[in-house]
Amino acid sequence: MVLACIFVSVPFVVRETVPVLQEIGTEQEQAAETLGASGWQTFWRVTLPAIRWGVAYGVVLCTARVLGEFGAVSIVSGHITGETQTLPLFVEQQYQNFNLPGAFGAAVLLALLALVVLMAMNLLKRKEAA
Amino acid sequence: MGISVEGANKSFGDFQALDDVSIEVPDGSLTALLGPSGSGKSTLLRAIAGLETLDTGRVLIDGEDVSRKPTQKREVGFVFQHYAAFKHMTVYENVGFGLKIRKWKKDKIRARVDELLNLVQLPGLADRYPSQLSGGQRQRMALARALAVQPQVLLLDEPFGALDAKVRKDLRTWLRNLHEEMNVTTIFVTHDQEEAMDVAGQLVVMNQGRVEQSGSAGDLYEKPANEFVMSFVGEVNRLGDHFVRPHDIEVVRDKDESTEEAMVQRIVALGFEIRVEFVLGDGTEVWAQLTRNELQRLELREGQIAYLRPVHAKSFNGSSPSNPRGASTPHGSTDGGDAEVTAAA
Repeated sequence: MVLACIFVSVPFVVRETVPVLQEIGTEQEQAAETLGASGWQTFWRVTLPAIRWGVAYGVVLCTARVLGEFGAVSIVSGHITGETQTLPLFVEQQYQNFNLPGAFGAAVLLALLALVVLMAMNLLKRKEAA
Repeated sequence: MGISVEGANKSFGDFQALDDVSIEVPDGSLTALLGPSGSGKSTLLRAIAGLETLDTGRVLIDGEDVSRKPTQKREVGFVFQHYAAFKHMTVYENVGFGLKIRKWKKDKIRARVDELLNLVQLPGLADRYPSQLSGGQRQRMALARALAVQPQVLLLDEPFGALDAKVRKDLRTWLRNLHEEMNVTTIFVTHDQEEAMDVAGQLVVMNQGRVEQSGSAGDLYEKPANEFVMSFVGEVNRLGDHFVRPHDIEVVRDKDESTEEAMVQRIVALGFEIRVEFVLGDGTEVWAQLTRNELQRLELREGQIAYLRPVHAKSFNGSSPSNPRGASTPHGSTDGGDAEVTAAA
């Protein structure tokens, strides 16, 4: 399940991060180098902080994608309740088993989670733009 | 610490950025690398800093071959044209960055940063972010950041290129004074010959990846090694095989054997200086720089005939800088002819 999720969602992080990296260029890293910072120090103190909102936004997008994942997990993970199931799969399963209250409960929870992610995204988008 | 570069070559794909470049920068000097864009001056500076690796050739700092040393160990201060400020850090954190990397104690960092902010005239701005500073302030912050770690040499890559004219002029004077105070060997790159002459004691003129000439501002102006240097460090007229500066053209009303007949085409008043454009009998356009008084004395008007006498005309024996290989003149030498002739064409 984890592998399937990584496979479908990591491109979101990359797509968010790469433009930010391109925008800041390599001058700041070169400046850090001339000041004596090693590769790791440059990455942790200069590169990562500079792209942190881009990365965070990518991670949230990633989460949103994974929350609603259905097909990839269903095919790859084996669909075992409580172990390798995403919420949408659980909803589908309960619905198939005629457990309507269970299905609706899980669906509402999914909707709430989606709202939280949406708010987080908006907040980060603003930070990233600033 | 003196810097020397020996036989440096560097190409990017098909483009030869440095073509057998050797320069010598004396200890404690302020040297300008001057040249048009694409002449290799920035590449040379970056090679000294270790931000580019040379294909062949050596870089020596204080006599030690640093060609294989990584940038971190070269102890150079580098200032970028676009500041390269760490945007997520305050001015204080920016300036203290190198010291933090060197694991200085907090109170020592504070003392050193305060000292530097005073030196670059930015006291009280320690808690601002780079985005809250003007261009000139950002560049001074970048300079403080480079100086914080007490570099052996200071390298500035078009440091004033992104600033407006007024700020640029102020910073030039300020940089010259700072250099006198600190006495760190400094190299700065510029494409502005006036800036280079104003700030630097020694100039290295580059073109198409090669060093055309090096020397003091006066040397380059008075004894240019070739046509390129002559036209790059000042205005120049071409008269057949000879070159003459506009202020070295004497304008007279009476002809004799050393003069050339010309018609006044246009008179442009630029304040005290007057630019008079002439056209010669063979169609060559020439301009002379006169003072307001001279113009009044000569009573020149557009359309009139006058006589020109070039003094200090130079010829370079047909060596042409547009030829990328031929006639490369080693720095410092003035051979290739600065033969003075009084009458041209």
